[in-house]
Amino acid sequence: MFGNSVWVKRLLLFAILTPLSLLGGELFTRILLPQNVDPKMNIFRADPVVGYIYEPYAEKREKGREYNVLYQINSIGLRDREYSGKEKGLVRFLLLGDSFSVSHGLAIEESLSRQLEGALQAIAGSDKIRAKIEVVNAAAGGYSPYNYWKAYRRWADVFNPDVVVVGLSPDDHDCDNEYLSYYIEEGETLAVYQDGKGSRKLWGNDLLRLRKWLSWNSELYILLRNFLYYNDIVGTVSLWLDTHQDIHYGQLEPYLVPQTEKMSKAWEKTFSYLRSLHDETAADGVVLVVLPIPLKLEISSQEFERELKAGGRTPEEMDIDQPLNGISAFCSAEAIAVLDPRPALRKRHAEMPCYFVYDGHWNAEGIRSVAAHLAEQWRNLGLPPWQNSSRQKQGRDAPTR
Amino acid sequence: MLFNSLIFILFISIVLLIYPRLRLRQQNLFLLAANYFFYGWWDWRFNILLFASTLVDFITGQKIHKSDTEKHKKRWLLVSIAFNLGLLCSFKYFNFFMDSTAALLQSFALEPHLPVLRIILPVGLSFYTFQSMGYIIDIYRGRLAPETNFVDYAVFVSFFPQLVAGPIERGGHLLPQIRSKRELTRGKMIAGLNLVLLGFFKKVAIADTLAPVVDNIFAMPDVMSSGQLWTGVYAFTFQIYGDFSGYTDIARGIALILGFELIENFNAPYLSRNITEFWRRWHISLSTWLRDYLYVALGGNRCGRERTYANLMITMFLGGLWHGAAWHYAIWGVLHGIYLAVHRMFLGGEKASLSWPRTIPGWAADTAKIIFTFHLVALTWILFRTDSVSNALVYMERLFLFQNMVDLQASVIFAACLLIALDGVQVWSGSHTWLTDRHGVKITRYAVAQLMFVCTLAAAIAHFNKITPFIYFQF
Repeated sequence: MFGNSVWVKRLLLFAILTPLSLLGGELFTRILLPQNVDPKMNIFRADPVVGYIYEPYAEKREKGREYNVLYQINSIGLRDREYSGKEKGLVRFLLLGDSFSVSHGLAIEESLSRQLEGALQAIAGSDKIRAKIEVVNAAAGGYSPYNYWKAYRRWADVFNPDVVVVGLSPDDHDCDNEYLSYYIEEGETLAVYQDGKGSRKLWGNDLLRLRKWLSWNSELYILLRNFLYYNDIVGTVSLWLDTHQDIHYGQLEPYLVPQTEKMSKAWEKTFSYLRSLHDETAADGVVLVVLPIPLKLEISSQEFERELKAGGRTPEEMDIDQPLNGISAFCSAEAIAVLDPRPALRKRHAEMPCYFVYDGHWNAEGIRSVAAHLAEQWRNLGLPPWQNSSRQKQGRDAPTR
Repeated sequence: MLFNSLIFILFISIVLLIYPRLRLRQQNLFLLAANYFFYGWWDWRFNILLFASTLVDFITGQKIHKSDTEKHKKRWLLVSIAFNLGLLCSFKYFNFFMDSTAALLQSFALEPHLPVLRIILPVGLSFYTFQSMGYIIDIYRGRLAPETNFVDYAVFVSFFPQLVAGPIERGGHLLPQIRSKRELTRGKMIAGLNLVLLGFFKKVAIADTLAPVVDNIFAMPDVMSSGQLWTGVYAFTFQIYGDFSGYTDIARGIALILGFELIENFNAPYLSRNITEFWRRWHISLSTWLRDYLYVALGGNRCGRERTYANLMITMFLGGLWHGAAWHYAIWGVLHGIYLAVHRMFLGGEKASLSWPRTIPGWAADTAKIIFTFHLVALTWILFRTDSVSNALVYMERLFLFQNMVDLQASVIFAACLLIALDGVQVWSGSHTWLTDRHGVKITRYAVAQLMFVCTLAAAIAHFNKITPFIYFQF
């Protein structure tokens, strides 16, 4: 074939024209079939305790199809305002969690920490409790239960909290960060590697970099990727993988009955981290509260059906309450308070979307509903500042960097 | 079976695998089987209707030809027309007439209880009955000898590429191709693929992408701003064009691959400089059918000025009703009749042909004419798209408030520009298959073809779970 110059010319022509037509396709997609590109979180830096934190003083505009917000990182590496020492009468909460808790895609004023703070303060005011409430946002995108535990260790002495709230997602098992180190280059979290060094192999690091770059910059790529993920093609492949190789259920795995061995181990690990965290908070006299975060499919039946279709599963194989039941059982045994935001979210979502359409995180309405509901539950459970505050440790100075 | 479905891709692959290996008679038999399979995929009972129509017109065609006297000829003609119009009236217009009669009686304070038929409209019924009627009238007029081979005639009526949405073929054009040996050449194959690609680009990349925009805006015109409503008008104007001309291109492309040349149905209609020219370029097979078999039969322009205007109005009124059994279609047709009459009255309805302007004033005048004609047609599409005349009036009323014109969507303008650019190239090259003809630089044509392929693929992926039927299938 290559002996024939016509074929060589054709191949050459194809090689030249393909990138051009892909560029044209990209333009076409951006204008007529716009897609939500992945958020480009290039504002991290490595941290010896937690693994990684936000880069202090970093600023990054977070753009997506449904949001365009400025991420401003404070002087110590939190997506939050600056804090000073803890004054008398101040009840301080430390919010730990992943992108849901950090309020991905939302301005800081609309974030869970701010909304929860406002809702708690309002109810406390109506109950004539004279305490000032602060909710510190110590969550970061991509954190897993391992990071929650380590983040407490990282920030406990800094903030001297009275309460720790842990936002626990059913998909936290996807990234168990204990044995992984982040490879961070020029502020961009590129990948996690077992050895923490980052290999330079074409089919390892470079391909990952290319995929990541495309997911940040190419709407044509996102269109293709989502098509593969959300259609029966992938569902069929997933089923094949299920029976032939590793198990892949996408977001459905935590709900699958009976629980898979992988999932059981993941929960075991999650609970071991939570136990460690509870031990440490209890030793410090800090109240630990778990906030199970429902994924969109737990709230929206349409989303659930879509995931079932993508995973090639039937409703009979699923128990949507399984993660919450597991968390509740564990917390009950460990005497940890659990706040369930699902009833409020389901009610509100039926009237108004509480999740981003393309993104899957809570939108501002979702956060507002969750915060209001949690504050009510908080009071009903008699948690601080409604609890007799013998364990409150007021008056200690809280250093900031 | 929709052209833009996976089952059709499987179907056409099997047809193309077997068809070229057969001899002429075998090819026609195989085509007939494929046609009925294709049509029966919607509902096998549709095939009974198609077969009945074919049989009746095949027999009446013979009878007309063999009749010695004009009286006998006319009798057989009436049998055929009564049968075909009977089919149309039963399946398409019965409920419309009943509803309209009931509404009329209700306006006189009566409470009529008229029967309603619970039947579905067979896909493509209007197209193949018109094609059959054209065949019969041509025989009656002595312009065509009847087909003597039933299989060939059945292939003519049911030819699957154009069965459900045209072009409405003429017996004198398609039947000789069915009778004679087809040459399946590489050139025809490439030209056919060219048309198929062009058709899918228009349908999938443009029309289907504009469809949700149109649906959203036309669903609630009373809450939309003027900018959004103008977006809706432009979006639908190009959606219906992309959809229908895309279908025609695919149909012509597939037919070409099978060795047949179907008649042209569109010729850059939105580049027309007046309404008369528009109807020479839009849905050509229907407008020429209406002209030859209805307008001329009514007397055409041979019976004085007033009668000519009346004939135009009647023809366009019926042309509007042909699209659907609803008053908004009829009014849409009447409006076009008025435009044509006014154009004829004041401007003489001169024959206009599109040629590239050589002088700046000429260029400017032509551009103004094109823009005016385009907007006239686009605004009249509102009646076509809305489900009632009252909704169309609400739409129009809010449209001309010109509020929040910033809501006009740039993406719709971009899609419109793409279609107009394709038409521009077609006019410039004088060919529908310009991608594979020897026009311009080869590398540019390759690049355009590859780009169209990528865009169509992207759009097909984006619309994967929501296949949009062709608009004209409902007619």
